Amino acid sequence: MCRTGQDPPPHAHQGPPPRRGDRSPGDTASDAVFSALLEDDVEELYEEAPCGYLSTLLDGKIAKVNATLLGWLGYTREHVIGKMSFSDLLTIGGKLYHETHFAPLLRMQGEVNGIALELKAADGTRLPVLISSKVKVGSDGTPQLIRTTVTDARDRRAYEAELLRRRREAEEARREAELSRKAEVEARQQAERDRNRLQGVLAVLQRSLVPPTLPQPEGLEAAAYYHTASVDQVGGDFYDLFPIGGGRWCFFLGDVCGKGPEAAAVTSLTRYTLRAAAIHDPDPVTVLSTLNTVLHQHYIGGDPRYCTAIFGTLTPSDAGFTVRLASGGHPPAVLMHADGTAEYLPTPGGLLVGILPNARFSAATCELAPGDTVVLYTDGLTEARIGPDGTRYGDEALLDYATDLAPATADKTVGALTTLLQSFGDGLDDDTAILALGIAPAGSP
Amino acid sequence: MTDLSTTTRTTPTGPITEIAGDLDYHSAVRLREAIRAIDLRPGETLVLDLRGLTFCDSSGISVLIAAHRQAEIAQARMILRSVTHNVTRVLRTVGLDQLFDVRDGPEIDAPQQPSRTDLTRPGTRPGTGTD
Repeated sequence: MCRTGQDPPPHAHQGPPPRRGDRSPGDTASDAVFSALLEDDVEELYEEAPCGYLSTLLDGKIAKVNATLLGWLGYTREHVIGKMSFSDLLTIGGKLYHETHFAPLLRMQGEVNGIALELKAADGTRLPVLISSKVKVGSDGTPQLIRTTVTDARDRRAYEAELLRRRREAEEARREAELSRKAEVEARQQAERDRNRLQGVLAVLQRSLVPPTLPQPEGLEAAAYYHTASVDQVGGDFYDLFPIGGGRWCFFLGDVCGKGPEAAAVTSLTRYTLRAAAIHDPDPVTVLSTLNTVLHQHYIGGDPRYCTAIFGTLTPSDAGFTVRLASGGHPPAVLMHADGTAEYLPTPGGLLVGILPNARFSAATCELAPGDTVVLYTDGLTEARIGPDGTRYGDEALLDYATDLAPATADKTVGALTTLLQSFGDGLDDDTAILALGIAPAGSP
Repeated sequence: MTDLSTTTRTTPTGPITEIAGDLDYHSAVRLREAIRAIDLRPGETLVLDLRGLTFCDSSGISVLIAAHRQAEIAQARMILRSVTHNVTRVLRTVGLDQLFDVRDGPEIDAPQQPSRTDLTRPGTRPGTGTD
């Protein structure tokens, strides 16, 4: 509480506060009570003090002990005085310590303070205490007796024990944390190993969806590129190029709806169905119709799976090759001419493959002459985001790009489109397959 | 890139769901769930209003096909309304302009006839398209 000079003194109503040497009769009476309280029986003060007192002769015999200590130990005065030594009150360990440290130190220094020992009570229980001793010397300087105070240290011992327990707990917790950290590191390493293994498996699976190496048909140039959007997921894009005899070749490129293992399974089914169907009858409409039937039957009643695909045949002709192709819901192929023009090859009417039991497909035909190249792609290319506002690359941009590029060989075209895809960076978030087929320009080796 | 948003309201002829934003691999699941939650009664028309749809890829096409099947199973029909030029081109590429009932205007006629094409019943043909 804060008081200012203006505040009335606490006993203002009783007049000015008493000053030293200026006491009223009433003050004397209360002082007497106060003195009586303070200077009560010195003997009682000794006996009932909140610590134990003990006086021993130089040989250790107990000469005097207070009631507090007797009470703690459960002895009667008669038991102790003149009969027991101080060391008799100690445990065996305490005795040893007393003999080897305490007593020599006391002899040397004349006093010892705050030594922790254990006393043994009459009933055998142990009492943790703090001992301070001082040697009383006579006027001639010779030691006469030892005065000892004994402080109950049970609480302190309990507190220390608690501290120790807490420290053990903390160390235990630290060890457990260390163990769990190690386990976590191991789990992470395991997860990393699993992930690497999975990625390895996925890469193998992914590679199985496209030919390991693209064949180079006589009189044709072929090039392909596959962009994998995620190493953790198998994409659904696929392509192939294979001979069917008589100098004729088949090619296809497509995209199974969805991602992951289910899509990969459909992709695999799709690829082998297309190859098998082409051997039976390479007509593009027939092949796509067969695939449509297979996909539709395979997933009837279940999760519908379908794909978009372009399938085509290459037949040697006078000019080069005749391309006959059909599309099932797939973005149109781009035809780049030797004269530097480019156009989309319209394949109208083609529906997603596998969605209807009897979808119809229609074929388109064009001629590939020297210097011409036809490009098939999946929509990862045209749907790549090219601006911060989410603008997509788009069909027009692709046609403009192809027009600028033409004329170009299959290799050059795929190289240029690969560079284009890489320029999209993060905007390219879907798998993308590109397949280019062309005829070398006239006059080239 | 605009995030996909959908709002559905009920009308006497059936629910109308307005779809806006980009419908791609990442957002397709949400639209699928939103449409799956719609309770379609026999004879009703589910209108998907696509005027705000800025992009639709093959994942989005899958959702539209699933919605079409859902309508068929419920003996209802599905209409795509106010389809933008870009989305129309996508539908044309995959041939679904022949399969889906695509309308220009905001007004929808009361259903007069069952769905033009049945995805689940074999032997039916796609509706009159460009072919």
